[in-house]
Amino acid sequence: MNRRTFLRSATGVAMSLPFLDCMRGTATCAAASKELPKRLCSIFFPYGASVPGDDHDDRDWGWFPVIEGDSFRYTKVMEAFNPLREHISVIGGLSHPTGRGIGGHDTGDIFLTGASFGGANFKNTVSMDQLAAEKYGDLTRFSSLVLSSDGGIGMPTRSKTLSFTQSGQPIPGLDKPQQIFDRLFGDGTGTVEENRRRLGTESSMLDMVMDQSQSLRKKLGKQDREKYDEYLTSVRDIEQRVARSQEWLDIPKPKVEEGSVDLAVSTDAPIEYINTMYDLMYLAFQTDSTRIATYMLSAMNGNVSNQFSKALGLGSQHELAHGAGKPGGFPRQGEWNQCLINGLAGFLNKMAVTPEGDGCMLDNTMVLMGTSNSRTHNNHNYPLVFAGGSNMGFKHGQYHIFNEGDDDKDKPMSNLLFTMLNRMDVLDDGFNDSTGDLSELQV
Amino acid sequence: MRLLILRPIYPLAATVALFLWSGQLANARTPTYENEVAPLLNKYCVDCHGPDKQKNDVRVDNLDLDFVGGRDRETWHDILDLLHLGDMPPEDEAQPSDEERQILVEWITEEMTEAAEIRRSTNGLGVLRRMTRYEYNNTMSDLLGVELDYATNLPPETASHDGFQNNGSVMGMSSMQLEYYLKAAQYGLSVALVDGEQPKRYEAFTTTNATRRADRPDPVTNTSKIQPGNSFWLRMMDYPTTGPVTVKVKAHAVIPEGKGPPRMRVRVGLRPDTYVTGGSVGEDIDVWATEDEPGLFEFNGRLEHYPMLSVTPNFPGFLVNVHNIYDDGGEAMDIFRLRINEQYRELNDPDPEQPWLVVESVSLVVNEFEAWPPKHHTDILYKGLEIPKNETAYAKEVLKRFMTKAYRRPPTKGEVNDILSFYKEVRPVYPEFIDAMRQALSMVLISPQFLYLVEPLEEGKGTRKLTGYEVASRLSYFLWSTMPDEELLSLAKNKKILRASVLRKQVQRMLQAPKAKRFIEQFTDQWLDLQALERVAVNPQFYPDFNERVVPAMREESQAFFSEILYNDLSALNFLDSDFTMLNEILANHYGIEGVSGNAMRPVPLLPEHRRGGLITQASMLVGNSTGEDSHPIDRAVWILERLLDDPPSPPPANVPSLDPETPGFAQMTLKQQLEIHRMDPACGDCHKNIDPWGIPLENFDAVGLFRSEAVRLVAKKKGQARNKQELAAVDASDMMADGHEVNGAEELKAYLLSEKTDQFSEALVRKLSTYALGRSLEFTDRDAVERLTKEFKKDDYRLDDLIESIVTSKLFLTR
Repeated sequence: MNRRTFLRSATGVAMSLPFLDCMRGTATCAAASKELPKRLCSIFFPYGASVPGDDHDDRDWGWFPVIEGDSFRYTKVMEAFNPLREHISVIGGLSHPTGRGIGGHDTGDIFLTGASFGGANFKNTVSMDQLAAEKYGDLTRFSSLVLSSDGGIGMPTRSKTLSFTQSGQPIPGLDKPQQIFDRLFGDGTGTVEENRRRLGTESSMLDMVMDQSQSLRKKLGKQDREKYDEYLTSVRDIEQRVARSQEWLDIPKPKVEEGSVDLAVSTDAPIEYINTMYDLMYLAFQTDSTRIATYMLSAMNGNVSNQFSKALGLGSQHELAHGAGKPGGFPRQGEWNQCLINGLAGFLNKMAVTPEGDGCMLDNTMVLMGTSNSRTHNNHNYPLVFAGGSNMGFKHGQYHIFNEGDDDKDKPMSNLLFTMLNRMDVLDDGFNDSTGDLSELQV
Repeated sequence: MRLLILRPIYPLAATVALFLWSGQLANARTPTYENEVAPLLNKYCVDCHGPDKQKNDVRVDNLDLDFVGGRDRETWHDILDLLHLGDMPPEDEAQPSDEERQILVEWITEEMTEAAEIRRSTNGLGVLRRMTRYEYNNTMSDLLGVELDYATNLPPETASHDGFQNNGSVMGMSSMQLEYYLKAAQYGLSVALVDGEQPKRYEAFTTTNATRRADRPDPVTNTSKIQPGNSFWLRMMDYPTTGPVTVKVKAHAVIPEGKGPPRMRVRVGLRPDTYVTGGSVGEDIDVWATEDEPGLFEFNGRLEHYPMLSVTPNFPGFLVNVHNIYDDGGEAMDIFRLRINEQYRELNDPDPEQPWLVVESVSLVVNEFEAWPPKHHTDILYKGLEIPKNETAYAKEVLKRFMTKAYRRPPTKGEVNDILSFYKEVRPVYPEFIDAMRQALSMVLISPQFLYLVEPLEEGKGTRKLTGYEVASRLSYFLWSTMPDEELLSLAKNKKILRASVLRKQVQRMLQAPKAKRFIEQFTDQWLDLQALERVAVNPQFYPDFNERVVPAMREESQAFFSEILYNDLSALNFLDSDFTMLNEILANHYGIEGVSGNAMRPVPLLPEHRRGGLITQASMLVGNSTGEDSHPIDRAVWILERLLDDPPSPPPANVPSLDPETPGFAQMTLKQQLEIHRMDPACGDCHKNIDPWGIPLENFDAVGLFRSEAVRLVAKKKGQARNKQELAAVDASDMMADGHEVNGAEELKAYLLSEKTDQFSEALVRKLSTYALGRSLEFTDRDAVERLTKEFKKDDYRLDDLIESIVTSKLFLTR
């Protein structure tokens, strides 16, 4: 068996029809997909959230809810969550131990990886979404969807993507709505036969590029080889993607009307842009094009995304973070946080009103949104929202504070990442530096 | 007390201060472990963290001193943080003096900095680098002979810690990126190589201004006297979506006294959904022609670039837009837009106080070819549409010729055969020869030999001289951001390019070519971080008179300034201070400098009252390093240290507490006073006493780069008051440099730079230019080479083209 045929059969396992196509289909079809999908979506924004002290005049502009007796009440920031309360938990008191000692806002890179920062030569490790993609990726046309408002990979400590491969290589985030739509739903050109021929050609081409590339590799020194291996890995990955496309060739891409999403939005209008990105993730899930998505909604030093809050008349996110303690600072940062929550609430609500199985789409979709600072330069007590996934055993409507009143008593963020992966049947013995699972979140 | 951190935004990797090279600091005495550090640890720490007690499991008297790979790197980091915070020793124990604490902090910081540098080091070899996004786009256009947007789907590049995008070690590769390289190649080849018959030719001609919409006339546009903001439209109802397009405009100008010439921009296409006009075709042109002698102007492009969605019947056909973009920054443009928005039903006469572009006729031709098949086809398939009997032999020769250009050197037999065997495999799948050929050529375009600037270096063999072809590539990507042309390749073939005299001649030739504009734009953008202008949004509540349209001119000023110094053999010390700057009308109006009209940048002599000259008082720097509401003295300081002196400060330590806004009277203080409070805390002061004095003297320049003597301060609201109040406070722009020099205001800062920092600046510029030329960061091993180049630079009266020649003929550039 040559390498190419091996690839084909390796990715050819357990092919299933797109989930919702089945739902819409006949009874026999529905019976065939008794098992509901398990989805995962993570969203990140930098520079922390508004965290005024409990006695502060502007407490109501804080991210974290206000505790009232046995219960709690959302602040202005999370007002939009009120109708969705039973689907949502707010989480405080988690942080990555590896991120606690490092520069002010430099922790977006490790939000989903928990990797240890080793100075200038920092190399990341696999992100939790890619572990899930490895397990579930073969079931869908795309193993995962990696989005970013700034696009690309950025640089270590200033990454513009949340997702990292098994070897810690950043996966570029897609930022252009039209490009994302075309990848997911575009027909491309040509008939099935033409596409089959094209994919066949590409498959041989990549195979031969791989072979010929080995001889060049021998001529390179050690340092060059490390770089060169990124290229070789990319060739290998794209070979697999071509093989996967060949498997999916006879299954048409889901039909989604271009008009159902506003693809002409520009990042100059951040609220509309962010909503489009949420719509694209929703459509990708709804059509079962993928079950795993990450979205770096905003990145530290992101040329584009740092203007988001500014375009809303609030100053850059960096200024909002640093100005939090100044007069009127918390309400300003809180207003920005409120915009973020409103966007997320819209996304969650869409999934909550989309029926799936006996419940709704959100019950089969875990959504994590947050940031990895609380106050300026304080890499503790991440402001987090965790929603959905009740079919995977989560219970919501709660506000959890995991630390014991002291920043240094934070629980590892990896405990949450592990819990999510564990409930998704991806891992059962811990993720990175996790020390246990968060049973409090579960039924 | 909690302290405010006015924290610069710059990469963490910039921690790796390159001050090890900078003349000033290299001489500074660094404390040693044995004589100074160990005794202090013994005195203050070892009681609790020593052989007897190890509180918290920490013992500091036997820590591993290897900061590069040692086991205690993290512990040293923790110690540094605790020292910064003043958390250790605990309050009830004996405290080190400020000087003692500083010794510890300095020693640990330097060890860490050096270790980071060593960890990143490649022994001066650099690493394999691929083309940047813009280099790829230029190269594809040159190689295929068709200008398309090849890079549109590629992820954006990031800059290295020293500010450059062409640094191999930070450039990534991913499967998605490779997928888009393949798509771009297939797309490019589908256009560059043509099938069969020549496509139909389309043409249109008009002498009257069309209207954009079909349902009603545009109220103010349908005149041929085009005032600034207005356009002349041509409509073509039957049109193709691909092919070369030529627009010819016959026009003259009417220029009122004291105004500049109208500037003409031609755009093609219109997205009716967003009203966005298509991209520009060709370059903008200032029109001086008179009614007696009207000018004929030609613009060339390709239709593939432009949006032509025609989905609503209100905007039928394909539109060409001849726009007068003259802009003095005044109200004329706004008033014009207002008139359009208010849907004036009646035609208004164009504004007589503004320069008009009088359009006499516009013609449009699509799909005109000098020959068929076109040159871009026969440059690759040299037999044109003919396919010889022996297809395989022809394919082999085509590949050989193409690969010589694509790989920037003749391919080896093995390399040609690799591609040829792929061609043979797929040939039977395709009915047409040309389709199989397109696939084979696509394979060349995703090969590492094309995407990367390969300079093989065998493991353990050390450095070697570059081959002629490798030198030609380095040179071409340095000065043109694209592949070498035929002349460079032929000089590479006969190895003449390795001679210094030939290299110098080539540098001069290349700098005179239009492609050198890419070097000027890319280098100045990356060196001076001109992109910063895009990151700052000026708050209109603070600057109601500010006109966003001036921002592009700010970037152009710095680029044109660099260009002026380069092409006129001026001293690079003009970057520190100069008696001229580059202005056009809109920017001159913004600065309040009179007598400049028109959109073109030109050198303008400066008077003392203009308070300009040099880079640090250019708006690109002042605005780019502001918050959009106020100046940002620390960002400005860090910019000077990083960009002009190549001496970036370490980033602030983690977990440094914020300044307490509850400090009595804090909000009412001037920024300088706030910073002084900040500096009083030793944790911040150690570094900030070296940083702040570089930014404070520029406090007289506000967030839009204009001179001020008073600045707005926020007054905290009192209980019961609804909002914060603002008040004006006098600006204090004086500060003391770390070496004791008093500096008051921008002019004194420039004088200080010129008298005290000329050497450091010239070395920094040598380093920046070399870093860009080499596509890698400089390292310890490059120190001597930099020193030699700096000496030559000084000897050459700081002339940039001499410096470029010196770099290109240096061992640094010619070896790997």
